[in-house]
Amino acid sequence: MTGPSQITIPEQVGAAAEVNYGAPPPPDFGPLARDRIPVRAMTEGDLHALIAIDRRITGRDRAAYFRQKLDEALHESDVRVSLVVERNGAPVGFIMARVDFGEFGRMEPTAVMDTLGVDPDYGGQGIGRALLSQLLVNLQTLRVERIRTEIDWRDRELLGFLDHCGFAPSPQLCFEHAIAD
Amino acid sequence: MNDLATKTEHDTRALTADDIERVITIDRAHSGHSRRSFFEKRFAAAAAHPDDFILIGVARGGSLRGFASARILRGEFGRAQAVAVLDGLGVAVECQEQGVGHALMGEVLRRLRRMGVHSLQSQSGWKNHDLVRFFASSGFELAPRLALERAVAEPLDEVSEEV
Repeated sequence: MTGPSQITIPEQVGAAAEVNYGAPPPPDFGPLARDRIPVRAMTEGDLHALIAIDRRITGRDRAAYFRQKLDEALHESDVRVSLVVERNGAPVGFIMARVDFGEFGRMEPTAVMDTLGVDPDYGGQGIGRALLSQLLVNLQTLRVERIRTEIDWRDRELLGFLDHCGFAPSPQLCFEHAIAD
Repeated sequence: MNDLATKTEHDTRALTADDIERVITIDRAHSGHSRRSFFEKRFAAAAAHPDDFILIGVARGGSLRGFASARILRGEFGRAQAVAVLDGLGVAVECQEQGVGHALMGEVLRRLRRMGVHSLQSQSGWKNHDLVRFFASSGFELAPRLALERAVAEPLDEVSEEV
């Protein structure tokens, strides 16, 4: 049996000791990320902004790489599906993807997502999710069935984001061959 | 790395626009579907930017027996060095097991070395045992990268933590 000295009354912290059933319920749904954050198609004029965002993320100048990637996204994809989010009139996030026509003018069933970047100053605001959300809607309209990407397995932040966004390991293996000088 | 092509008697050459139909045919025999659009754009891009691509083939008796296609990416890792992505490799079905693939790979590696490229990357389905075996015998190793994918129609979780 428990003696009186061992009885403790739970300490009340804060004012919410009782559930207020009179208050309006919290919403169990809300606007989609792509509805809250306007997303537009990427253009060649975005190149310098994309390089700057990437430099802030990676600490490296990958101008030549981005020039190639933008060219690929805008000119080698049969449909332009790459997107940008702007804040205060300047791009703060982007997603680059490609999709090709296959046989008889039908869309290839798998799109490739090459690059995703969000300015660190705008992290945690749902910009990456808005970009991906809009991209998926656009790809669905094109009747593309799957989207694929490739990442460094040590990039935990990107891996976590893609995991939360429903990506899973594909049955593709990644290979590399070192080339000595 | 051994220069694989030295073990064979196959001559490699650069591909031209005249080879595109044969390349599409060889590729379709492996993949089961045509990548016409991809190869048309690839040949056009290689003609416009020859320093950014390698498009080579092995021909015998005037007929193309196999091809390899690689794209060079400069500055991906923020260094002067470049990496290449092997995104097309095919050997005519009737010419398999004759060293054509290794001749192509040897030539791709030689050209990349001359261009200062330090790594060649590629992908294969894990069930594509012939290609996996070919990569293994050509000196490729598993890369520290993951291929990820999802269904486009699957709803995106809009509630979990924001990124």
